[in-house]
Amino acid sequence: MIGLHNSLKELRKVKGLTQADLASTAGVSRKTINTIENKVFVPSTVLALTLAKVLDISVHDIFELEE
Amino acid sequence: MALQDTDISKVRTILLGITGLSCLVYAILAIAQNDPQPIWWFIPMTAGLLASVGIAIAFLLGDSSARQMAHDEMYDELNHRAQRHAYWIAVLMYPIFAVIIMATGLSWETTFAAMGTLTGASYLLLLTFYEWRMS
Repeated sequence: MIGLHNSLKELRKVKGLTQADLASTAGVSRKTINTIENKVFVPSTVLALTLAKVLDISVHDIFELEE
Repeated sequence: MALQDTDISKVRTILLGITGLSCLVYAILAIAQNDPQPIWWFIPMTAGLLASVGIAIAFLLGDSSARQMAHDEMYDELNHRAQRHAYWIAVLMYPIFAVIIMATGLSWETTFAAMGTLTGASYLLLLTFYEWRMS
């Protein structure tokens, strides 16, 4: 089964942002960021693109398919 | 003083949880006493109405970004999950209550009262549980 790997936590820390900072900028709750980072919740395309925009990187840098 | 998204979420979770518990207690008492009105019939309804007002006030006290953050896509996902699971619980209640009626002689009036309140309780308590688990 194909899973979704994400590097959101590492990339967020590189930018010096807390979960709360990223959440408020992206317009979601801190819980949502936390569950994405812990691979509990898979975000929609819109939210994935929003996170990439906030972090000023490509969405492919954050998310990638894993076999 | 504007409420933060976490405050709005807490108010919503607590009020929906209380409403769900009132429905659950009503159903349990109805079944235990074989009485469709074991306590004042309007208690679950009043709890629901007060919860609606409380949640609406909490959202009104938050600014637009807090409102958006409190009702983001993960909340929608949890809400839909609770609806899906509550639907199947409601469907399963029919055969379960058929067995209960045959085994205990529970009256039709009590059965309708219990199934109605349990249907509401299952959705509300599942949503509360899913939100609490994610926090």
